[in-house]
Amino acid sequence: MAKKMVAVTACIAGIAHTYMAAENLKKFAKKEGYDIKVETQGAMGVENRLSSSEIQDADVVIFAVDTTVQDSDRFDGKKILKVGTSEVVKDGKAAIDEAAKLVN
Amino acid sequence: MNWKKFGKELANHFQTGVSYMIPLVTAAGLLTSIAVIFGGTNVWNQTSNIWGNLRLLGQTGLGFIPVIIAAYISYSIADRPGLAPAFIVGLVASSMGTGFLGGMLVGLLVGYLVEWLKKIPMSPRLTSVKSLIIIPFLATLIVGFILIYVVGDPIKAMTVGLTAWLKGMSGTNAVLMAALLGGMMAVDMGGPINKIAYAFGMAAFTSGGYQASTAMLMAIGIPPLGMFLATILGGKRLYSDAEIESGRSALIMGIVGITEGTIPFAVADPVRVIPSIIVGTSIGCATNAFFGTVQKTALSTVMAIPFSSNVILYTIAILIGVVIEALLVNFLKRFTRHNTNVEEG
Repeated sequence: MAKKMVAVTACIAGIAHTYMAAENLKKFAKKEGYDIKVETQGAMGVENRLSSSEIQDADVVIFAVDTTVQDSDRFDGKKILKVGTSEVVKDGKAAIDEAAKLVN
Repeated sequence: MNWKKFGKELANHFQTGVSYMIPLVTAAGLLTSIAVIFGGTNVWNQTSNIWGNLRLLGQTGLGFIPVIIAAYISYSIADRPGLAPAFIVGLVASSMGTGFLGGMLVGLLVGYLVEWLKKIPMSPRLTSVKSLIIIPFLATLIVGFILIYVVGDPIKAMTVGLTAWLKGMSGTNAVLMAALLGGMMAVDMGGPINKIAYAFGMAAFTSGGYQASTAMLMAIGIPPLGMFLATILGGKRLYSDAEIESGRSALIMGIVGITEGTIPFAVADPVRVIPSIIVGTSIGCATNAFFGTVQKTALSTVMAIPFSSNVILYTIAILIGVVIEALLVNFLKRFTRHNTNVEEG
């Protein structure tokens, strides 16, 4: 069964890194055969908000953030990989691989 | 305690504060700039015409910078209960004239105090009393008094000293500072280091340190403009079709002042692009500081041209930065091995 991942991305200005990191996570998760849903917390506020059941079902959570995640208590008790947005923009595969390692 | 982890957390808290501050600064900065540009210097103490009122809006916003910084650093540390006390004490810090530094300190103190108060065990019957009354009351009282009786005056003295130093800066020091700010603005294209320089420049701007704010604001547009020029000069020999397309949007981003327009190039070829944009931006800003041109608006690179103290020299400084960046990156791409067909990341 495909592993399920959820992710939150957020950068400082909330206009570029947030969305590029989200795209990269989706791209490489798909390549590696994982299901992923990404919530962005950018300048326009929270978009594609993760529902509590989506978070519940996820095997692992990725925070690709430079700021504090809003409502982070939603993710209490989950396995969380925390990285900066620019690392994910540079190398999305590494983030996905590392997150996958947390599951096994 | 793990110091490295703590440092990273602290950086995250500061960055959260800055991220909430950015729209405030752009709104207030633009309003104030427009008021001063069209209304002249007599806008400051009146609200009898539209420019005076525009100034009122902008100036009120600028005065809110320490408040927003304090509130959202505290929010980042302690979540929702951190907000209210930091708003109150942050406003006091602002009216005491402690500036940006005071706001940051208030945010940290309130945030960690509230976070600590939250952890004190209490009987379940008292939890609602604790979150509704005890935490906001104690946090405001304690940090407020610390500010007023202990740290307020020293911070104010530091802010005044720093401002005087910035305003009085000339010659080699001014050039070096501009070069440093330019390099910091370019290095991560809108990332954390860029925002440190941005926060410093805006803090200088609000207290009249226009040399620093001019350098910082000039740096915003140079990286994308330089990459635009590089794609025009380099053409299909050095750039993929997608990159030439990115070059066109980089032109627009450069004009309106979004450094992030450079990111697609830096992701595809960081080793050649990032040093080039640092060098180009740094030299452009340093050249401008050497000329001694300043602009007293919060507008970025291109849009500030009409308001600079010397339009021609200011424009020349931008062009020097842009051209050096473009030539350097194309030189590096041409004379070191580069395969334009490489799929992006």
